[in-house]
Amino acid sequence: MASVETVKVEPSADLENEEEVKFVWGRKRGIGGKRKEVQFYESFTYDDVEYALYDCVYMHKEGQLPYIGKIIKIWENPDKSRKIKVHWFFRPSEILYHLKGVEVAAENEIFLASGEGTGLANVNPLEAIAGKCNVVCTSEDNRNPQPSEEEVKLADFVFYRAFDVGKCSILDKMDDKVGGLDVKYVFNRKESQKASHVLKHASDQNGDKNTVEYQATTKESFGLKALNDLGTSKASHLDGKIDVDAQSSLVRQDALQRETNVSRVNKETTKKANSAPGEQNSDDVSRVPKAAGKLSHIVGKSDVNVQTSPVRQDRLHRDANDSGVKQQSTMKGNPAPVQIVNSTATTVVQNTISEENARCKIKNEKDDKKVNKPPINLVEAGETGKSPKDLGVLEDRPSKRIKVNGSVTLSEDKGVNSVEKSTVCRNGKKVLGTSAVPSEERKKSVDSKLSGGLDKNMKIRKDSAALDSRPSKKANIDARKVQEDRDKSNMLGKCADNLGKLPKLSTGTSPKEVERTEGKSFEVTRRPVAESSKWFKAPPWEEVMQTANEQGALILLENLNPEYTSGEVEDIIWHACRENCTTKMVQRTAFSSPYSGRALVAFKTREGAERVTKKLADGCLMVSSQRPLVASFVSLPKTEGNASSLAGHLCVDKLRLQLQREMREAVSTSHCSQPNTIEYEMANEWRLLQARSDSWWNRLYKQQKEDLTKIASGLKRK
Amino acid sequence: MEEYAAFEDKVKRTIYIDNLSPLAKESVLRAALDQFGNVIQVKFIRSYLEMKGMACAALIEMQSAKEAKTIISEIRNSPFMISGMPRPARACSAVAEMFDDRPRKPGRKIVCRWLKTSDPDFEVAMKMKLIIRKHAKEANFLLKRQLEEEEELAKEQSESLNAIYSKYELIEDVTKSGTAIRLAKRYKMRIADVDR
Repeated sequence: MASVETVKVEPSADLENEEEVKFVWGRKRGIGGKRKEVQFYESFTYDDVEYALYDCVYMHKEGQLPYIGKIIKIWENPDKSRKIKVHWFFRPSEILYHLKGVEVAAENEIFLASGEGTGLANVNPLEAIAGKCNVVCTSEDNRNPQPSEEEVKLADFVFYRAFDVGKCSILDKMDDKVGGLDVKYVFNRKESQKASHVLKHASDQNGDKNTVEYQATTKESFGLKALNDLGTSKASHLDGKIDVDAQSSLVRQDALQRETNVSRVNKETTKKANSAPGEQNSDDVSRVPKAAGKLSHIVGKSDVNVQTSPVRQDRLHRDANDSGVKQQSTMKGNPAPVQIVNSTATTVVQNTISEENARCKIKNEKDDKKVNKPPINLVEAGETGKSPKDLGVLEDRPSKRIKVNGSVTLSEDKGVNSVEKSTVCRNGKKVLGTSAVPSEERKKSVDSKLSGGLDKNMKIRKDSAALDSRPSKKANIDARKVQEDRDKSNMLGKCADNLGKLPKLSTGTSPKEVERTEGKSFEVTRRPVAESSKWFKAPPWEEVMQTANEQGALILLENLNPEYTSGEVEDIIWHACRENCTTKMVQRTAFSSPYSGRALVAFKTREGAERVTKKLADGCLMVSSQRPLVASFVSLPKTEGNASSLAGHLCVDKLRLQLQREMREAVSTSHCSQPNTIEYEMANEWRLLQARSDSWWNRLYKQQKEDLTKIASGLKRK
Repeated sequence: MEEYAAFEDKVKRTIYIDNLSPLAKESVLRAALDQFGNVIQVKFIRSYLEMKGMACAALIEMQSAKEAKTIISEIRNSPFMISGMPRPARACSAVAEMFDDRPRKPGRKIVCRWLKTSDPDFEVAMKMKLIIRKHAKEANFLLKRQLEEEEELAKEQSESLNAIYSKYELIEDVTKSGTAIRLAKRYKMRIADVDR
């Protein structure tokens, strides 16, 4: 029989108003204690959440991430204090040392405590509960009801291993009793007790809205996790513009924020009827799935059925803002809060690609129908304080060149301020005269991509104009296209020469040569090595490269399979063009494309280089059927004379001389930084930047890969 | 085949480390990582297409994969500074493609084909080529932006560092020259930890 008592709990200091926290005992279990004064229970309802024996809960820990535990005993003492005994789970971070060499299966894996000793279980006051936690056991033990994929995905945490607190070791198998706890309470309990049906709010994962999941279960999971992510496209939601038809969704904030009250507040603001587990509870679990573009939005608005005092909400909001503000100050006005506590690269996702997009947006006002990414990105653009003239090449992602079907965008430079970069996009089919272009609907601003930013604009336009007037033969068009491309890819502005030469070469010769070798596929084997080179060792690559560079016989090949070796590339060139060369695959670095490899190819003569380039440009050499090779002349950027120090390596100006002397003499000047120094904080800023750049690159390459795969799908022969 | 297996083993034992200063030479790197284990080889990565101001990268081969993993996790957990502060170095496991002297992968066949202009794939391929060029430029741009951001951060930090140092100097000055003590006497205040 349930005894119903409503007890007034003393409000903690943090709550401004005196609040009653609702508490109701559930089913009684038995009496215990020396004098039969202790009453055990099976369940209770605290703050409108029902907790039962063997449920998993968060236990509030000051200033830290909450502990996770399983309730194994509930009772009330004669002095009316309520206690629970909690059997602990360990987060990997708590037992890192003992996890050395052990693979942690999932990001949210935890370990059940087992064995004997401190850390197995504790008695705690019931009020220390910070919320319910959804822990799913994924052990393949046949005593464990296997969870569905959905359940695993939706779980707050998973576990299948135990940690012996006495021996400090990881156990894979569960015995009949784990740390005194009967194994059947370790595994997932039968479904009859759980009514977990999940309603997913339909939303665009990649887009602007967040994915809010409502879990209406008797075990409601609060998941006030500390997962702050930098979002951008969703930065706008800071204003609470979420179109979610329920409520104030509290985003994961870090533990600084957490108080038991907070969870209580949450509950109260949204609950309609706590006794209807089957309904869609306007639960404020807003779990932004990690896969989607992350964000931490702080929304203080709740649209539906707000029964509770707005005061609380505001407070929540304010708190949220506070923590946000606090953290913001370190982030240069980034609109979204940053979590510094657990910044791993996976959780910090900075969307700076959108910055560029935004900037491009600013640039291309007259531009197209395709909205690049939501305009919210302007927020980001503003943040970095770059003037619109710092324009990106990353214009209008969706306005991919490929989509320009049948429209040539050869308009003149329409006074877009300081356009250093623009791209020519042409489709081989049509060629319109320069002046006729304005009639095109999809008019983009000029797009001839220039990397050097010289007056190439003039040159290109002139060329284009000149070229335009020729009869539009397909091969020629391609050749022209290629020329322009080739020009653009010249990094140091040596294009003047090329411009002069190439138009001549392109006419006439290309169609024939291409036809001769086209159509057949051939396997690339080791090329026959010329006799002479067997006699003496080849000079080191650097020399070869430099010589070729000076002669203008250095080519950059792109879109190779990054796994190829230099030798293989040489073979390819040999078989395809019957030219000898020396190649070096560009080594992969932290920010080189994982899909497209590049190689520097040095020829002995400039003519050889030109021949190959032309061939590859006019025709299409498909390597392994999905990769047309792209070749372009390149000249190496001039390297600095002295190695100067790296940006970010600072020294105090006044001490500079002294330091430099020391540096020169010291052989080893490296160390790990300690947390209480300025350099530590600064170092963390750098790591943040590093993590951000990583994420930029990842996004860029992901996007690029998608672009390519999309086009490649148009290939008939795969 | 064996050669490749040996190479793969080497890859597992190697770390890729970047955000290095051009001033960090092999000896420095060796000394830096000696505490973690036996450094077999240090090779710098040069792509020759580097821009001005880019950080350097190197491949460091250790004696065992375990050592390599240790280093990576250490560097990840706490900022490790080599040849200058406060910008920390960054490390991750090496990948085969980072090695410039890698052997050919056994069993790999490369098949090439020149496309006929009449082939419908020709068009597609040409488009692909364009895209690739575009991508290259995008990457270039991103790199530049990254460099800019890095420089900006460096500048900021430099300023704040200098400011902090001036404050420090000021305080030191005041205490050393006895001004602080005199002032304290005048205002009848106590100063803690003054040399007596």
